Amino acid sequence: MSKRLDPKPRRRLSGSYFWPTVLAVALHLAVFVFSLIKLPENDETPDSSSIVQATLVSNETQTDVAQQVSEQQEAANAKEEAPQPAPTPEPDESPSELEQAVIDQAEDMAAREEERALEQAEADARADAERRAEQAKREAEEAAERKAEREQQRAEEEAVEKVAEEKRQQEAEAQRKKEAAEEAAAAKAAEKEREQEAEAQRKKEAAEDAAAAKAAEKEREQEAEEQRKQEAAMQRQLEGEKEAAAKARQAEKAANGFIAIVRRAVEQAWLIPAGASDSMSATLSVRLGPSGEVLAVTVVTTSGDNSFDRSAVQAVEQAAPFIELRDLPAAQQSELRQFNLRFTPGDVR
Amino acid sequence: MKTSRNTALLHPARLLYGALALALVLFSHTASADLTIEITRGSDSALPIGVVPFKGAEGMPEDVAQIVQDDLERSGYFDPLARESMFARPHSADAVAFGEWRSLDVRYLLVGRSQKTADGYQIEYDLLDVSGARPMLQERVSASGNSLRGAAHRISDAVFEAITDIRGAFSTRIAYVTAQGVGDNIDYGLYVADADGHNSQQVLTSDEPILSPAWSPDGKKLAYVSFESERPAIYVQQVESGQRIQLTDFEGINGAPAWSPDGRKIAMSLSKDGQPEIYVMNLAGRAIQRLTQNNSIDTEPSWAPDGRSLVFTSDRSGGPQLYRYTLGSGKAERLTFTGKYNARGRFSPDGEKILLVHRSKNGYQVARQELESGRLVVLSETTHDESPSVAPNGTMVLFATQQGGKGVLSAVSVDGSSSFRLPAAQGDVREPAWSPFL
Repeated sequence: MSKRLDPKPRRRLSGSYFWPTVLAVALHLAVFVFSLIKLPENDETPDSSSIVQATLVSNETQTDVAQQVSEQQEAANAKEEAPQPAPTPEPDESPSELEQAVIDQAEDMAAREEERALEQAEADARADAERRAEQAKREAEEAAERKAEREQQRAEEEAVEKVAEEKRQQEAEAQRKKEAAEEAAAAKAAEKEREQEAEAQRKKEAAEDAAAAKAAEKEREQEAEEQRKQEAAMQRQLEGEKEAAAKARQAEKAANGFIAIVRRAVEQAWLIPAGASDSMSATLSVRLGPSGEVLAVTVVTTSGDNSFDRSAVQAVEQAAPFIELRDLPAAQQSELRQFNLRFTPGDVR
Repeated sequence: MKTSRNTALLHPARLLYGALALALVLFSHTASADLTIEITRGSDSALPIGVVPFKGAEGMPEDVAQIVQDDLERSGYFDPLARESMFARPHSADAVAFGEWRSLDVRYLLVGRSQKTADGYQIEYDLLDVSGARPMLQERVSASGNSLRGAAHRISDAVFEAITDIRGAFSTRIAYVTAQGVGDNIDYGLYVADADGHNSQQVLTSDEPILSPAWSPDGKKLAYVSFESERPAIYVQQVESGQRIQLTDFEGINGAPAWSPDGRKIAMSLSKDGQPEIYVMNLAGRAIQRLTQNNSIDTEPSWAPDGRSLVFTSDRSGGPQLYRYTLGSGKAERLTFTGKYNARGRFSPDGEKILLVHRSKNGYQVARQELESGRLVVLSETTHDESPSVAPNGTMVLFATQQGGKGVLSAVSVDGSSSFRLPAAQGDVREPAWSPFL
């Protein structure tokens, strides 16, 4: 019975493992795929370069090549710096307020710059006319003016630089913020992922635990079953031993019963010859057939008195057949098919 | 290789196992053979025997089977099955269905057939062991019409001996004395009969008392005391011919003759020197030798079977007791100490017992005393018993007792288990004597 029951739980067990495993694998795959899908978005970096280019536009107006070169270099540097920031995980379509402010400021400044450039051109034309008039004097003034111009240029440059610096700082700040946001988002995503993973893990683990628990339960049950079986087997064995002992006792009892029957029957059948003395004793060997019939009776030890010996032989023959032999267990039967009888007239009825 | 094998075989464990196995085999064999059931109880009741009427008995003057059956029953050893209880009456061993007789709890079966011959009858019989379903004895006897009883007794003897291993005494004879009449007109007779009391013959008739008949060892002569000559005298008479001689004619009492086992001497009690004393007479020269010397009455001598001693009755202790005189020693030792009256001692054929008359609180009874233990056992149930005489096979004691104021013969087995009364004879019957084997 137990053997037939045995394969079933195993089949159930394998079935229960299958779906959780599939689910877990699928979950993992999904998480992986999601993570893959998100990563390319990160590559699409935001167009912070456009801000930098706006700066470059203003620079093109600069006459000083060296300045342009340096500006270009700076721009290039800036440009180089620009794409470096970490990718934004979450694409923010509209620029943030900060960015907008930066952009607006930049546009304003560009407009004012343009205005000033126009005014200067007018002044220049006037100065040209005046210069011709006032050549000599202006030569010195020009030098001073160039100096002032240089100073102003320098101031402008400084201002530009300051703006650029501010812009850079703002950009850096924005970048930091963006990065922070991105990092936060990433962390959040990572957290979420972790959570998901953890959840998946938990679920998986739960599933596994459940499965394991189930399996353990199964195992316990099996063990319990095994235990029960063993105990049952032991019980059976004990019972078997008990039964064997009982059987042995029964057999002994049966044998003793048979011996008692033989004794009683023979004593009842024994007609002690007149004149037999108490000191007389004869021992017979009796061999029985399977049905308790007497096959042979032989005098093993004679009493010295033929009639006494014969009385003993006759007692056995008269008491026979000992059909009770057939009621005995087989082992006892064969054992009790041969026995001795000692006749001693100690107690005459 | 060889040595290693040897050591392996001689390894202690192997040896142990081998010894165990051997022991098991031996014990299992001897264990079954050793089972011995003790049988300590049994019945001392007589052996059931079936004596089937012989074929051809109808036309015969005697029912031989019936005589045999009565003999066996009287012996006390057998308990014959009543004829009416028999399912079948087979006449030969071949016709016997043992199961039927077994179911009747018959241990032995006697079947026979007789047929008339030119000079009498021929009887053939089979003795069968019913328990073992096997033949024990088959014999053929011939007899004239007159000797059928004797033939029956011979069959009884053979059957008895075949089963009990004791020689049958059915063909022996008894002698006894009768007294008939009243007052002065009393006739005394000496009779000899078969052991069963049948076939009696008077061998002597007298107006005077006849006492103490004694059989010679050869069973051919009787010694007895007769008062026919006014004085008691001892006579010896040939049973067959009736010829006789007067052996003694001493003064006083001439009594209690007893033949020595060799038949050459007769012990007797003579009072010629005063008190009755024990003497032995050599029959060849009739010389007598006095054995006892005292002032008390010594009488009723009886020889031991070996002839070396005699037992006799003496009142030297005040009352009658038995003493044993050993020839050559000149001395007698007292044997009986139970009660105040023990007399008329007779040796059993095996010389181990004395049968005697013992006066108990009930009266005079036949008793047996074991010489070795000195234990005395009363055998008879009657109370006026006298003159016990032992059968030559030692199984029975014949004695005289009183019934209805008249003397009768009775017998009891030496172990006291059975007794029977002999058929009544004419008159008052006394002084029985059982013959030796004839």
